[in-house]
Amino acid sequence: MTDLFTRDQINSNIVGTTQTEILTNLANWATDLGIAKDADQLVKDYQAREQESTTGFGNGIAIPHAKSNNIEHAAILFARGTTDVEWAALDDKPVNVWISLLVPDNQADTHLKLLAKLSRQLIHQDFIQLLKTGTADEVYARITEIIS
Amino acid sequence: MAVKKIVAVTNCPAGIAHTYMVAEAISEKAKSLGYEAHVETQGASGVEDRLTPEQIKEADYVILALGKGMTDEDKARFNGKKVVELPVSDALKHIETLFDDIDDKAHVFETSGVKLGADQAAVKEGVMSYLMAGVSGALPFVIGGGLMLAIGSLMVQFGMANTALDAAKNIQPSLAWVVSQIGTLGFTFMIPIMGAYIAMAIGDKPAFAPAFIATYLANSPDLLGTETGAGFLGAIILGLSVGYFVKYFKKIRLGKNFQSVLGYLIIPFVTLLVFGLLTYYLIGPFSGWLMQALLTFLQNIPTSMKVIGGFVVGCMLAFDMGGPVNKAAWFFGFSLLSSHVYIWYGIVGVVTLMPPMAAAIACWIRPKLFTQQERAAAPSAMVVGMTVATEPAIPYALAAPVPMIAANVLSGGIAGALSILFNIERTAPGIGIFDPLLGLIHPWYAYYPVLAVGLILNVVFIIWFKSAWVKHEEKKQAQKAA
Repeated sequence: MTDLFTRDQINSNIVGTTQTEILTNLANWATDLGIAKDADQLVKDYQAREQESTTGFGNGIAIPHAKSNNIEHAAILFARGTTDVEWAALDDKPVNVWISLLVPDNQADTHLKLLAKLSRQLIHQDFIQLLKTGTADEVYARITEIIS
Repeated sequence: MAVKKIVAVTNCPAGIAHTYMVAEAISEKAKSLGYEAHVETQGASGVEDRLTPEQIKEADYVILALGKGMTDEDKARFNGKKVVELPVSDALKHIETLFDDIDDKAHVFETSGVKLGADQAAVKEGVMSYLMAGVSGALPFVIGGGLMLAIGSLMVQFGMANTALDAAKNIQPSLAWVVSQIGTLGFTFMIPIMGAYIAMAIGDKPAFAPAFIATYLANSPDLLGTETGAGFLGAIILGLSVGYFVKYFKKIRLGKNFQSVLGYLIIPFVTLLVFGLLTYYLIGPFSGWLMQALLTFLQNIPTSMKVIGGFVVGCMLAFDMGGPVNKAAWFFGFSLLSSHVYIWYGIVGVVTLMPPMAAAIACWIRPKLFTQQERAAAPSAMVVGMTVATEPAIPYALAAPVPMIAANVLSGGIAGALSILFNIERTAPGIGIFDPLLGLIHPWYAYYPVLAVGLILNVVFIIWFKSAWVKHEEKKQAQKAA
């Protein structure tokens, strides 16, 4: 897929020790890449979603996501941090891997279906292990494979 | 022990991630336990893997992992099933233990009794279910609008002013007028909403807007320059054709660059262009003409045959319970009011109350002839039927069209003839059975006996015809089994 997931949408060294810092960094990054229009708005959308229920689904991984007209095009961001961050996750464990799904409001089916495929993988242990310990190349190859 | 069968529905606020994670988790977990599972996802790209009635019927358990709730209407399909409902995040968290002691977690789900019954189990697949989707969309408009109209006319009956807004003369409208106008809007929009819901049931969201606009157009005589709007006829014709048009339109593949704009731009625009123009030049005038033809036919019944005319109008009013035939007859009676002829509208005052009231009474006298849902809907059918609308009779008729419609039409015809015979007049729309008290129907001493006779006949016919029908169906089933 064109720009759903590219190499520069992987960051194995995201900085931040709190949820807000991580979300802000993700939002700035998305804005720099031209995925989101307004970083502040994206942080708000992320936080609103976290308030509704946590996106930390366990295993040290969280999937902060947003769907709004602030998003220019559908995209996946993958980030890994050096420090553990408290995320109020379902298993109460801190998080250090993030997959962020960003979708414009009127997104067409094709992209949504690909993101759905990716989401479905998130419950599989082998995929989770890869996200946690795989190299950037391995993660890129695997995600690209899933969404192609 | 037989393999456990599970059906599940998942959704979440954004419809991007959890819907699918939980769907996958449930499928995988069920697979690992050797269960058979079907999971419907209600995500951002719409409903996928929609559960079929057979899957639901065969399922031992229903799991609803919901992040954005579920409408009563959607949930109604799980009536009578063992349902486990939980937040989508809990489902993810407790997936490993989700199926443990599932019998304790599940409770048998029953739909609430205050259903108007548009989503009855009687409605199965196919065109009928699309039409019922239209009816269920339109009903709140009819009921809400009808009650507002009734309140408006009640206010006027009690002596409040009915002054229309006249901006040119700087005349402020009275409250009664405002209330009636709001009610009228309910009736105005119920037809485009019906068309839009029918279309959406077939072609999903992209079909909604074009069908709404096209049906609105078809029902606007002032825009079309026709005598009457297309009414229900137009909603059905346009709803079905737009729905199927979009359904097949969606199959077109435009390549990656254009595919993304297909759903929200190209389909609605092209569909509206095609059906808007078709409606203006063809469908609108045609269905308007059809309505007009019906009206002309009715008006040409010679006065010497009034009683037979009353029978015909009564039959028509009872035939499709708020549908085009009913509306044509209603319009016939109503339009004569302006010529100070009130007897034809008097038939409306008698006959339109009968089908829902009779169905409800029959439910109480012979509960065995009706499904649990039909019985549960009886009180609301009674109340709504005696005051506002004939529509609550529709689900009863759909469950067993031949005996119910035959009973309604026959007794409606007889009541119509009696109504003419006793010169019952109705001067304005009101709130059904209370109209004589409001002075809208007179003479009251003729109205109530005629209504009573009509109702008794209607109930007797329903019980008689439906018993025979049920027996016949049972025999058919037995033959099939043998």
